[in-house]
Amino acid sequence: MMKKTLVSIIAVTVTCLCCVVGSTFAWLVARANPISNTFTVGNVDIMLSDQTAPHKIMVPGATYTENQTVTVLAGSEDCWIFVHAHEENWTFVDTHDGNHSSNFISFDYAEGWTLLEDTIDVYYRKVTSSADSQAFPIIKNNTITVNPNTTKAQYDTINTDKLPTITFTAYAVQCIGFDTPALAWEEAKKLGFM
Amino acid sequence: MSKKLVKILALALSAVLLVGATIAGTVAYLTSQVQVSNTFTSGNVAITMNEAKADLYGTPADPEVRVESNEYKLIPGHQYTKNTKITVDPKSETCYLFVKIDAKFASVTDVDARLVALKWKPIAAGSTVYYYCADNNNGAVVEAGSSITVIEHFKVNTDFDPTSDNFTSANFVAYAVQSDGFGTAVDAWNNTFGKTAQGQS
Repeated sequence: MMKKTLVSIIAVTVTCLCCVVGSTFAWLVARANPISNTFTVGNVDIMLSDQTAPHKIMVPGATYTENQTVTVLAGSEDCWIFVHAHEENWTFVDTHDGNHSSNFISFDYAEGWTLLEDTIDVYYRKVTSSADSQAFPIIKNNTITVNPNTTKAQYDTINTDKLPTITFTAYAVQCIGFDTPALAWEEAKKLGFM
Repeated sequence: MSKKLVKILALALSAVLLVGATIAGTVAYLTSQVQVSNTFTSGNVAITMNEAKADLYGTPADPEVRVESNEYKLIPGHQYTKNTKITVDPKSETCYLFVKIDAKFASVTDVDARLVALKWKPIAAGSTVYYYCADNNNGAVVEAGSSITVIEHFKVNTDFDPTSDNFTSANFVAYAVQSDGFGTAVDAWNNTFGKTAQGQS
Protein backbone atom coordinates (compact mmCIF):
# COMPACT_ATOMS: atom_id res chain seq x y z
CA MET A 1 0.00 0.00 0.00
CA MET A 2 2.82 2.33 1.00
CA LYS A 3 4.68 1.52 -2.23
CA LYS A 4 1.64 2.31 -4.37
CA THR A 5 1.18 5.67 -2.65
CA LEU A 6 4.82 6.57 -3.25
CA VAL A 7 4.61 5.69 -6.94
CA SER A 8 1.49 7.82 -7.30
CA ILE A 9 3.15 10.81 -5.67
CA ILE A 10 6.17 10.53 -7.95
CA ALA A 11 3.98 10.21 -11.03
CA VAL A 12 1.96 13.30 -10.12
CA THR A 13 5.12 15.26 -9.38
CA VAL A 14 6.72 14.33 -12.69
CA THR A 15 3.55 15.26 -14.54
CA CYS A 16 3.47 18.67 -12.87
CA LEU A 17 7.13 19.29 -13.64
CA CYS A 18 6.54 18.43 -17.27
CA CYS A 19 3.72 20.93 -17.40
CA VAL A 20 5.88 23.66 -15.89
CA VAL A 21 8.85 22.99 -18.15
CA GLY A 22 6.59 22.58 -21.16
CA SER A 23 4.93 25.93 -20.61
CA THR A 24 8.27 27.71 -21.11
CA PHE A 25 8.31 26.60 -24.70
CA ALA A 26 4.61 26.53 -25.37
CA TRP A 27 4.10 30.08 -26.63
CA LEU A 28 3.39 30.38 -30.29
CA VAL A 29 6.25 32.37 -31.71
CA ALA A 30 7.84 32.88 -35.10
CA ARG A 31 10.99 34.39 -36.46
CA ALA A 32 11.10 35.42 -40.10
CA ASN A 33 14.12 34.97 -42.30
CA PRO A 34 16.26 38.05 -41.67
CA ILE A 35 16.70 40.73 -44.28
CA SER A 36 20.34 41.14 -45.06
CA ASN A 37 21.64 44.43 -46.41
CA THR A 38 25.15 44.86 -47.68
CA PHE A 39 26.66 48.31 -47.78
CA THR A 40 29.34 49.85 -49.85
CA VAL A 41 30.20 53.47 -49.40
CA GLY A 42 30.05 56.20 -51.94
CA ASN A 43 33.04 58.47 -52.32
CA VAL A 44 34.29 61.54 -54.12
CA ASP A 45 37.99 61.73 -54.88
CA ILE A 46 39.93 64.31 -56.86
CA MET A 47 43.55 65.13 -57.50
CA LEU A 48 45.43 68.09 -58.94
CA SER A 49 48.26 67.65 -61.36
CA ASP A 50 51.34 69.84 -61.50
CA GLN A 51 51.38 70.57 -57.79
CA THR A 52 55.01 71.63 -57.92
CA ALA A 53 54.95 74.04 -60.85
CA PRO A 54 58.36 75.66 -61.35
CA HIS A 55 58.91 79.39 -60.94
CA LYS A 56 58.09 81.50 -63.94
CA ILE A 57 60.08 84.60 -64.79
CA MET A 58 57.74 87.37 -65.76
CA VAL A 59 58.75 89.16 -68.92
CA PRO A 60 56.27 91.55 -70.49
CA GLY A 61 54.44 89.81 -73.32
CA ALA A 62 55.75 86.35 -72.52
CA THR A 63 53.50 83.27 -72.46
CA TYR A 64 53.89 80.23 -70.23
CA THR A 65 52.47 76.77 -70.33
CA GLU A 66 50.61 76.04 -67.14
CA ASN A 67 49.27 72.52 -67.26
CA GLN A 68 46.99 72.50 -64.23
CA THR A 69 44.39 69.74 -64.31
CA VAL A 70 41.74 68.57 -61.87
CA THR A 71 41.10 64.83 -62.10
CA VAL A 72 37.98 63.24 -60.68
CA LEU A 73 38.98 59.70 -59.86
CA ALA A 74 37.20 56.65 -61.21
CA GLY A 75 34.13 55.59 -59.27
CA SER A 76 33.49 58.96 -57.68
CA GLU A 77 29.87 59.91 -57.22
CA ASP A 78 28.29 62.75 -59.17
CA CYS A 79 29.92 65.86 -57.80
CA TRP A 80 30.44 69.58 -58.06
CA ILE A 81 34.07 70.50 -58.39
CA PHE A 82 35.36 73.96 -57.63
CA VAL A 83 38.61 75.71 -58.38
CA HIS A 84 39.76 78.70 -56.44
CA ALA A 85 42.78 80.81 -57.38
CA HIS A 86 44.44 82.27 -54.32
CA GLU A 87 46.85 85.18 -54.82
CA GLU A 88 49.71 86.21 -52.60
CA ASN A 89 52.23 89.05 -52.74
CA TRP A 90 50.89 90.79 -55.83
CA THR A 91 51.53 94.48 -55.36
CA PHE A 92 49.00 96.13 -57.60
CA VAL A 93 45.27 95.92 -57.41
CA ASP A 94 43.47 95.88 -60.72
CA THR A 95 40.58 98.19 -60.11
CA HIS A 96 38.71 96.54 -62.96
CA ASP A 97 38.27 93.07 -61.53
CA GLY A 98 39.62 93.47 -58.03
CA ASN A 99 42.42 90.98 -58.57
CA HIS A 100 45.99 91.80 -57.75
CA SER A 101 47.54 89.49 -60.30
CA SER A 102 45.62 90.60 -63.36
CA ASN A 103 47.76 93.74 -63.67
CA PHE A 104 50.68 91.46 -64.46
CA ILE A 105 49.33 88.29 -65.96
CA SER A 106 46.17 87.03 -67.59
CA PHE A 107 44.60 83.69 -68.30
CA ASP A 108 41.14 82.35 -68.94
CA TYR A 109 39.50 79.35 -67.41
CA ALA A 110 39.14 76.40 -69.74
CA GLU A 111 35.84 75.52 -71.33
CA GLY A 112 33.31 74.01 -68.94
CA TRP A 113 34.22 76.13 -65.94
CA THR A 114 31.66 78.70 -64.78
CA LEU A 115 32.18 81.57 -62.38
CA LEU A 116 30.21 80.85 -59.23
CA GLU A 117 27.55 83.43 -58.58
CA ASP A 118 28.46 86.07 -56.00
CA THR A 119 32.16 85.25 -56.15
CA ILE A 120 35.03 86.74 -58.15
CA ASP A 121 37.47 83.85 -58.09
CA VAL A 122 35.63 80.55 -57.64
CA TYR A 123 34.81 78.49 -60.71
CA TYR A 124 32.81 75.28 -60.78
CA ARG A 125 31.61 72.47 -63.00
CA LYS A 126 29.38 69.44 -62.53
CA VAL A 127 30.90 66.01 -63.06
CA THR A 128 28.91 62.86 -63.61
CA SER A 129 30.08 59.61 -62.07
CA SER A 130 32.16 57.41 -64.31
CA ALA A 131 34.02 54.14 -64.11
CA ASP A 132 37.02 55.98 -65.56
CA SER A 133 38.95 58.92 -64.17
CA GLN A 134 38.07 62.23 -65.79
CA ALA A 135 40.60 65.06 -66.19
CA PHE A 136 39.62 68.71 -66.54
CA PRO A 137 42.24 71.35 -67.45
CA ILE A 138 41.83 74.55 -65.46
CA ILE A 139 43.47 77.09 -67.74
CA LYS A 140 42.34 77.62 -71.29
CA ASN A 141 44.94 76.35 -73.74
CA ASN A 142 47.17 75.82 -70.69
CA THR A 143 48.54 79.29 -71.30
CA ILE A 144 49.28 82.22 -69.05
CA THR A 145 50.28 85.50 -70.63
CA VAL A 146 52.29 88.27 -68.99
CA ASN A 147 50.71 91.64 -69.60
CA PRO A 148 52.83 93.34 -72.34
CA ASN A 149 52.03 96.73 -70.87
CA THR A 150 53.60 96.09 -67.49
CA THR A 151 56.41 98.44 -66.62
CA LYS A 152 59.75 98.10 -64.91
CA ALA A 153 58.44 100.37 -62.18
CA GLN A 154 55.75 97.87 -61.44
CA TYR A 155 58.19 94.96 -61.35
CA ASP A 156 60.38 96.92 -58.98
CA THR A 157 57.59 96.94 -56.43
CA ILE A 158 57.76 93.18 -56.13
CA ASN A 159 59.53 92.02 -53.01
CA THR A 160 62.09 89.41 -54.04
CA ASP A 161 61.76 87.76 -50.64
CA LYS A 162 58.03 87.38 -51.13
CA LEU A 163 57.50 86.47 -54.72
CA PRO A 164 53.97 86.66 -56.05
CA THR A 165 52.14 83.38 -56.38
CA ILE A 166 48.85 82.06 -57.57
CA THR A 167 47.74 78.87 -55.86
CA PHE A 168 44.98 76.83 -57.43
CA THR A 169 42.95 74.73 -55.05
CA ALA A 170 40.32 72.25 -56.15
CA TYR A 171 37.36 71.04 -54.09
CA ALA A 172 34.69 68.42 -54.70
CA VAL A 173 31.31 68.03 -53.09
CA GLN A 174 28.79 65.28 -53.82
CA CYS A 175 25.77 66.36 -55.88
CA ILE A 176 23.34 64.30 -53.81
CA GLY A 177 21.79 66.64 -51.31
CA PHE A 178 23.07 69.75 -53.07
CA ASP A 179 20.97 70.75 -56.03
CA THR A 180 22.99 73.85 -56.87
CA PRO A 181 26.69 74.63 -56.86
CA ALA A 182 26.03 77.53 -54.50
CA LEU A 183 24.61 75.15 -51.88
CA ALA A 184 27.54 72.79 -52.32
CA TRP A 185 30.01 75.63 -51.99
CA GLU A 186 28.35 76.87 -48.82
CA GLU A 187 28.76 73.38 -47.40
CA ALA A 188 32.37 73.28 -48.49
CA LYS A 189 33.04 76.52 -46.65
CA LYS A 190 31.36 75.14 -43.51
CA LEU A 191 33.74 72.21 -43.65
CA GLY A 192 36.64 74.61 -43.69
CA PHE A 193 37.61 74.08 -47.31
CA MET A 194 38.53 77.74 -47.58
CA MET B 1 -63.01 -17.07 2.07
CA SER B 2 -64.01 -19.70 -0.40
CA LYS B 3 -61.52 -21.35 -2.61
CA LYS B 4 -63.19 -19.80 -5.58
CA LEU B 5 -62.73 -16.26 -4.24
CA VAL B 6 -59.10 -16.90 -3.47
CA LYS B 7 -58.55 -18.12 -7.03
CA ILE B 8 -60.18 -15.00 -8.46
CA LEU B 9 -58.04 -12.68 -6.33
CA ALA B 10 -54.87 -14.51 -7.32
CA LEU B 11 -55.68 -14.15 -11.03
CA ALA B 12 -56.45 -10.44 -10.62
CA LEU B 13 -53.16 -9.78 -8.78
CA SER B 14 -51.21 -11.62 -11.47
CA ALA B 15 -52.87 -9.46 -14.10
CA VAL B 16 -51.95 -6.28 -12.24
CA LEU B 17 -48.34 -7.43 -11.82
CA LEU B 18 -48.16 -8.31 -15.46
CA VAL B 19 -49.48 -4.87 -16.48
CA GLY B 20 -47.08 -3.20 -14.06
CA ALA B 21 -44.13 -5.04 -15.43
CA THR B 22 -45.10 -4.15 -18.94
CA ILE B 23 -45.41 -0.48 -18.10
CA ALA B 24 -42.11 -0.49 -16.25
CA GLY B 25 -40.43 -2.16 -19.20
CA THR B 26 -41.74 0.50 -21.58
CA VAL B 27 -40.48 3.30 -19.34
CA ALA B 28 -36.94 1.82 -19.40
CA TYR B 29 -36.60 2.52 -23.14
CA LEU B 30 -37.22 6.27 -22.83
CA THR B 31 -33.59 7.32 -22.60
CA SER B 32 -31.52 10.13 -24.06
CA GLN B 33 -27.82 10.68 -24.65
CA VAL B 34 -25.91 13.69 -25.91
CA GLN B 35 -22.21 13.88 -26.76
CA VAL B 36 -19.82 16.75 -27.24
CA SER B 37 -16.82 15.90 -29.35
CA ASN B 38 -13.79 18.20 -29.20
CA THR B 39 -11.17 17.95 -31.90
CA PHE B 40 -7.91 19.74 -31.34
CA THR B 41 -5.51 21.16 -33.89
CA SER B 42 -2.46 23.11 -32.91
CA GLY B 43 -2.34 26.85 -33.41
CA ASN B 44 0.56 28.48 -35.17
CA VAL B 45 2.15 31.86 -35.64
CA ALA B 46 3.98 32.45 -38.89
CA ILE B 47 5.40 35.56 -40.52
CA THR B 48 7.60 36.55 -43.41
CA MET B 49 9.58 39.73 -44.02
CA ASN B 50 10.85 41.15 -47.27
CA GLU B 51 11.56 44.45 -48.99
CA ALA B 52 11.58 46.07 -52.39
CA LYS B 53 14.39 45.15 -54.73
CA ALA B 54 16.44 48.32 -55.13
CA ASP B 55 19.64 49.40 -56.82
CA LEU B 56 22.74 50.71 -55.05
CA TYR B 57 21.15 54.12 -54.65
CA GLY B 58 17.92 52.75 -53.17
CA THR B 59 15.83 53.24 -56.27
CA PRO B 60 13.27 50.42 -56.55
CA ALA B 61 13.81 48.28 -59.62
CA ASP B 62 10.29 46.86 -59.78
CA PRO B 63 7.67 47.40 -57.07
CA GLU B 64 6.46 43.84 -57.53
CA VAL B 65 9.83 42.25 -56.86
CA ARG B 66 10.34 41.47 -53.18
CA VAL B 67 13.65 40.25 -51.79
CA GLU B 68 15.35 39.34 -48.53
CA SER B 69 18.60 41.13 -49.34
CA ASN B 70 19.72 44.36 -50.95
CA GLU B 71 22.99 46.14 -51.49
CA TYR B 72 23.24 49.90 -50.98
CA LYS B 73 25.95 52.43 -51.54
CA LEU B 74 25.90 54.77 -48.57
CA ILE B 75 26.17 58.47 -49.30
CA PRO B 76 25.73 61.11 -46.60
CA GLY B 77 22.35 62.79 -46.82
CA HIS B 78 20.98 60.44 -49.46
CA GLN B 79 17.55 58.84 -49.10
CA TYR B 80 16.94 55.20 -50.04
CA THR B 81 13.73 53.28 -50.62
CA LYS B 82 13.54 50.12 -48.54
CA ASN B 83 9.80 49.36 -48.21
CA THR B 84 10.30 46.57 -45.68
CA LYS B 85 7.12 44.73 -44.72
CA ILE B 86 6.20 41.94 -42.31
CA THR B 87 3.33 39.75 -43.44
CA VAL B 88 1.39 37.55 -41.03
CA ASP B 89 0.46 34.23 -42.56
CA PRO B 90 -3.28 33.92 -43.37
CA LYS B 91 -3.52 30.85 -41.11
CA SER B 92 -1.57 32.36 -38.25
CA GLU B 93 -3.00 33.21 -34.87
CA THR B 94 -3.19 36.88 -34.00
CA CYS B 95 0.15 38.09 -32.73
CA TYR B 96 2.38 40.92 -31.64
CA LEU B 97 5.09 41.91 -34.09
CA PHE B 98 8.68 42.88 -33.34
CA VAL B 99 11.62 43.89 -35.43
CA LYS B 100 15.24 44.10 -34.44
CA ILE B 101 17.20 46.80 -36.23
CA ASP B 102 20.95 46.61 -36.63
CA ALA B 103 22.42 48.97 -34.03
CA LYS B 104 25.10 50.38 -36.31
CA PHE B 105 22.58 50.99 -39.06
CA ALA B 106 20.38 52.83 -36.57
CA SER B 107 23.29 55.01 -35.52
CA VAL B 108 24.17 56.24 -39.01
CA THR B 109 20.65 56.69 -40.40
CA ASP B 110 17.33 58.26 -39.42
CA VAL B 111 15.64 54.86 -39.19
CA ASP B 112 14.62 55.34 -35.55
CA ALA B 113 12.49 58.40 -36.31
CA ARG B 114 10.99 56.69 -39.32
CA LEU B 115 10.02 53.61 -37.30
CA VAL B 116 8.34 55.82 -34.74
CA ALA B 117 6.48 57.62 -37.51
CA LEU B 118 5.18 54.26 -38.72
CA LYS B 119 3.97 53.46 -35.20
CA TRP B 120 6.73 51.21 -33.96
CA LYS B 121 8.12 51.74 -30.48
CA PRO B 122 11.31 50.51 -28.82
CA ILE B 123 10.59 47.89 -26.19
CA ALA B 124 12.78 49.87 -23.83
CA ALA B 125 14.67 53.15 -23.96
CA GLY B 126 17.72 52.78 -26.16
CA SER B 127 16.71 49.36 -27.42
CA THR B 128 16.93 48.51 -31.11
CA VAL B 129 14.06 46.03 -30.78
CA TYR B 130 10.77 47.65 -31.70
CA TYR B 131 7.20 46.44 -31.34
CA TYR B 132 4.34 47.43 -33.57
CA CYS B 133 1.94 49.53 -31.54
CA ALA B 134 -0.28 51.20 -34.14
CA ASP B 135 -2.28 53.49 -31.85
CA ASN B 136 -2.03 51.26 -28.81
CA ASN B 137 0.91 51.71 -26.49
CA ASN B 138 0.40 48.18 -25.23
CA GLY B 139 1.04 46.85 -28.69
CA ALA B 140 -1.19 46.15 -31.64
CA VAL B 141 -2.76 42.74 -32.00
CA VAL B 142 -2.12 41.94 -35.62
CA GLU B 143 -4.59 39.78 -37.50
CA ALA B 144 -3.73 36.92 -39.80
CA GLY B 145 -3.11 38.02 -43.35
CA SER B 146 -2.05 41.54 -42.33
CA SER B 147 0.94 43.22 -43.88
CA ILE B 148 2.71 45.82 -41.76
CA THR B 149 5.27 48.28 -43.07
CA VAL B 150 8.44 48.46 -41.01
CA ILE B 151 10.58 50.92 -42.98
CA GLU B 152 9.51 52.84 -46.06
CA HIS B 153 12.67 54.90 -46.58
CA PHE B 154 15.82 55.77 -44.72
CA LYS B 155 18.35 58.56 -45.03
CA VAL B 156 22.03 58.40 -44.18
CA ASN B 157 23.09 60.96 -41.60
CA THR B 158 25.02 63.89 -43.02
CA ASP B 159 27.83 63.35 -40.53
CA PHE B 160 28.38 59.79 -41.71
CA ASP B 161 31.92 59.52 -42.99
CA PRO B 162 32.11 56.96 -45.81
CA THR B 163 35.87 56.97 -45.83
CA SER B 164 36.45 56.10 -42.20
CA ASP B 165 33.27 54.40 -41.03
CA ASN B 166 33.78 50.68 -41.44
CA PHE B 167 30.17 49.68 -42.03
CA THR B 168 29.61 46.85 -44.46
CA SER B 169 26.45 44.93 -43.60
CA ALA B 170 23.36 44.81 -41.40
CA ASN B 171 20.68 42.25 -40.61
CA PHE B 172 17.08 43.04 -39.76
CA VAL B 173 15.04 40.37 -38.00
CA ALA B 174 11.29 40.11 -37.50
CA TYR B 175 9.63 38.23 -34.67
CA ALA B 176 6.04 37.37 -33.80
CA VAL B 177 4.54 36.17 -30.55
CA GLN B 178 0.97 35.06 -30.03
CA SER B 179 -1.12 37.85 -28.57
CA ASP B 180 -3.45 35.58 -26.63
CA GLY B 181 -2.23 35.22 -23.08
CA PHE B 182 -0.23 38.43 -23.01
CA GLY B 183 -1.57 41.77 -21.96
CA THR B 184 1.10 43.75 -23.75
CA ALA B 185 3.61 43.29 -26.52
CA VAL B 186 6.47 44.02 -24.14
CA ASP B 187 5.23 41.28 -21.83
CA ALA B 188 5.08 38.89 -24.79
CA TRP B 189 8.62 39.81 -25.81
CA ASN B 190 10.04 39.51 -22.31
CA ASN B 191 8.57 36.03 -21.89
CA THR B 192 9.81 34.68 -25.20
CA PHE B 193 12.53 36.06 -27.45
CA GLY B 194 13.55 38.60 -24.84
CA LYS B 195 14.80 35.75 -22.69
CA THR B 196 17.10 34.36 -25.30
CA ALA B 197 20.40 35.62 -26.60
CA GLN B 198 19.13 36.03 -30.18
CA GLY B 199 16.36 38.28 -29.03
CA GLN B 200 18.40 40.55 -26.83
CA SER B 201 18.53 44.10 -27.96
